Amino acid sequence: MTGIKDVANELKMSTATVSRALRGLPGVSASTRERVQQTARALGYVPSPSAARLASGQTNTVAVVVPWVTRWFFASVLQGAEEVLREHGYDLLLYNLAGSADARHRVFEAGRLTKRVDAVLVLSLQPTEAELARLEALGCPVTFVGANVPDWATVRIDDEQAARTATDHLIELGHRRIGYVGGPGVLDFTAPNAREAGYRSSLARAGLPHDASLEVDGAFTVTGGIEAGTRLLERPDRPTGVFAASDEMAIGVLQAARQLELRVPEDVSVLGIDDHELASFFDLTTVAQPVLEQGRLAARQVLDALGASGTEQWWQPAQVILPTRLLQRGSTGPPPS
Amino acid sequence: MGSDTGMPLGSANMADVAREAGVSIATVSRALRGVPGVSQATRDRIVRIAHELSYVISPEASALSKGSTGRVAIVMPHLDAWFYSAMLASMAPVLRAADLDMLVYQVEGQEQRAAFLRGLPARRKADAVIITALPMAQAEVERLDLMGVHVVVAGGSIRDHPHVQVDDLEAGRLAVSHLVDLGHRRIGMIRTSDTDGTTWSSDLLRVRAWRETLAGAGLDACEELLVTESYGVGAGGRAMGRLLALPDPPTAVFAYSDELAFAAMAHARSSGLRVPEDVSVVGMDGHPLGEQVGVTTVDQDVAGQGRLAAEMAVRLLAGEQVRDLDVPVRLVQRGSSGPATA
Repeated sequence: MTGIKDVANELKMSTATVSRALRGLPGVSASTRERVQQTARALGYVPSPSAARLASGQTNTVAVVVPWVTRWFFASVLQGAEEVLREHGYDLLLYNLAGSADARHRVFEAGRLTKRVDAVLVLSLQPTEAELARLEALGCPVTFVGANVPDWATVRIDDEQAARTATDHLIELGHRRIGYVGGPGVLDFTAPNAREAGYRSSLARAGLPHDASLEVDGAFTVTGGIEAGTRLLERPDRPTGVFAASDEMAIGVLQAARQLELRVPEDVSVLGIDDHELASFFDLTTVAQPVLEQGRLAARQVLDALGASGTEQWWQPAQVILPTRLLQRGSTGPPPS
Repeated sequence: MGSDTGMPLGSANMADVAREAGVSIATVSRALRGVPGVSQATRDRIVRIAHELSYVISPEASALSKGSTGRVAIVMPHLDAWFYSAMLASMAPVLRAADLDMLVYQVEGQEQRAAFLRGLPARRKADAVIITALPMAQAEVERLDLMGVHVVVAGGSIRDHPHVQVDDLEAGRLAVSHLVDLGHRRIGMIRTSDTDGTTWSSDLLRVRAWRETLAGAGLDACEELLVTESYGVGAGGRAMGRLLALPDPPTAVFAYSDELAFAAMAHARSSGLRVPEDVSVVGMDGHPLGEQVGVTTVDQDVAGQGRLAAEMAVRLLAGEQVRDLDVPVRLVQRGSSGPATA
């Protein structure tokens, strides 16, 4: 039976490189990966999941790193991932960072994951170079959810496009003065920056001026949204439309409007991104993203990489981008004349 | 899981004694170490069974409870409802401070519970298990003992396992009395049926509180006013729809959770009813969006329950004694409840 050594000998490469190429780990160029796969196929080499796992010390455990488990998006991704992992007999090790730099350091850089897990899912964090180096050193499949990390497996939406969809909706309704509630949050995320960029690019394409004072930090929470919404809406020259980069912040903006006795959408239009479970309760227009599905797909990606899902395909770190769609409800309408 | 280290190979372990005695491992441990909290009769029975099974507690075994996996397993029926994520979030920093990692198992419905317990996936993977608001059948409860780990119950109670909970009877009374005091005479209750084939203390007690409070006020807690829907999106709306479709619909509704209350309010409004003028709604939880929704609720300090349950697990692993804890509840009055008008 053909072993990995035979493939390596044929290609005059190290078995480590062949192994990395076949497991879809980074650090191998696409052309090398393709050559390794061709040769492996030609020689009839079949990677044995059990052997691979024996070699790496199988734990049947997948770590999931979550910035804030109480936020709807993360809890829903977690739910989706857990369903798939459980179905395949994997346990889920949860690391909830909750804004703690210590917790983040502990999980990524203090060796917490070494030999403890077979794969890692990272939700919405933008990893530093040092963190990527540590993740790579783990030598196990890693998938990022809701973050754009080039060369690594990711499952996400196009955040910039989602923000453009939201902003364009307000522009099409006739709004010319549009506020943005976003914010960097405490940790470094992909989504806030990309959504802000989408908002700005929509304004620019519509020939609307960029006014930095209309961009307010809502910390991606309901209370942050209330504060940000109050700041925007108590101005004499308040915007007629507000786009919040998450539904939780948009719900906060709705609350701020109510406290200021502004009618929605007659006096001010509000929309978010997500389709939060309570978005329909608040009659909130939003750009819906498939959230459970992102968790499920991310879990499937790492299971495919581990050969645990019975897939016969060669696994490659894929960039999966899921579609979003505008869900028009009652919180948006034409601007007051 | 150290309860079986320090014993000769092949001998019974503490789980065997617990199973035979029909008590938890924690109770066996307490009884054999002579610490308080176990009746003399139970202690005698446990000692006798331990003797029969040749179970010998060793000093190392007592010390061993520190645990070896460095993990605590959290078992709950859902992950994507606020209650559960709030529990997880409040447990996490406590466990992290004790250098423990957190395994999370979502176990929903009888089939998944059976699979979880059959595989005992937490066995040898965790030093303690925190059962979080997970209803279990009697036979399933017995299988818990086979895990050979400490069991803590959060958000309810199971047999004699150490637990952190609210007084659900008191919480239910607060909610229903509030509606009675507002002059409501026909008060419905909405719950979900994720307790299939099981009993769950919170569920039983809140329903009992609804019945008893109505009876105490001389009101009729008739069966048609207690509506059960299967858990999931839309449960609250469907339940409210059934109540409002009654020939004599209630003027007030007590919902088992805030999320059910939100959905019930939304359904009432979309049916053209005003809340609270036409129908009052009271929830239970203290959901962070309760303020925005304007729902009257009984706040059950979920974060406090999670933190205390995690602390309890840490203390058990350190070989310390723990006692059951009741977290206080309070009525938070907002706009969804008002005087009966009819």
